[in-house]
Amino acid sequence: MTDSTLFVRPERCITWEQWQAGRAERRRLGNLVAPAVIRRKQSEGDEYLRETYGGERGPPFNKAFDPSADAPQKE
Amino acid sequence: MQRALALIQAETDLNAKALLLAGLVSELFREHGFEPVVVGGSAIEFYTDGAYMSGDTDICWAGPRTPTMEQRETIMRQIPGIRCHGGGKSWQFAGLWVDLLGEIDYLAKKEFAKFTTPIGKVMIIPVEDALVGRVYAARKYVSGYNEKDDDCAKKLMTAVLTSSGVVAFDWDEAYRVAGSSKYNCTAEFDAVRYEVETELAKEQSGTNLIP
Repeated sequence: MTDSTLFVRPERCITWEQWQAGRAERRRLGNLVAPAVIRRKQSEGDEYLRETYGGERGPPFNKAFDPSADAPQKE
Repeated sequence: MQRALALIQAETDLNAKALLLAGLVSELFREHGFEPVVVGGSAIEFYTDGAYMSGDTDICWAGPRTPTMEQRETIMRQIPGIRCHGGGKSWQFAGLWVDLLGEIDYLAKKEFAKFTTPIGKVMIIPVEDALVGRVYAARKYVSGYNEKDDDCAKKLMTAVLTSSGVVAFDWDEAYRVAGSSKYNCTAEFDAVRYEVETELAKEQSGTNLIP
């Protein structure tokens, strides 16, 4: 791996394992204050995104640790 | 390269797949002396797992050099099977898009975050900038209120308030950025913080919340 030349403090360095380990809890806490799925309805680049994802702006959220994320979104 | 491509293609989780792809792209550009940094909704998604990001990851450039369009094309074409859209701005691999944008614009004096993936390291915009920028977009920019951005800001605020965020957070720096002439949204920042603290307090007392 080629390291960045930008200075980063140790407390701002995250390993893949640390990131994966905290995902479920971050998601749980975030869902306490806002709906589970909050993807914007439109933004720049919509044209090619919608072409790629069958009219949506991205693929479905399919996180194995939270199956409810794939439930239909309330509008 | 083959191992990296296989890892990305095999990953079924959107967020992890996007982070791996950002790792590959970052590695390729760093090998040529550039400093890519992930910004925008995908940066917030990596910080929060908030189900916010779309199918693209935005990358800007820090450091003294910004790649020319020709350099971007040459470097990205190292990835077998990659597709291009928009004259070298947008690139697709394994069902995901990467947008290569301009020089990064941020205010926080604190450093970027660095996520190490199995493929490569990914630099991410300072979390203080990400949060203040989203509060501004939600409550101050143009119409004055954007529901999706507001939800996004609340999820990121939750991450930093509960220490469930993956990196350290500097409140003094966040308030300095919020009070800057670029954003001037200290009141809005305080309001989001208060609302989130209130919701989280309800959870602690067992009386909440979003159905």
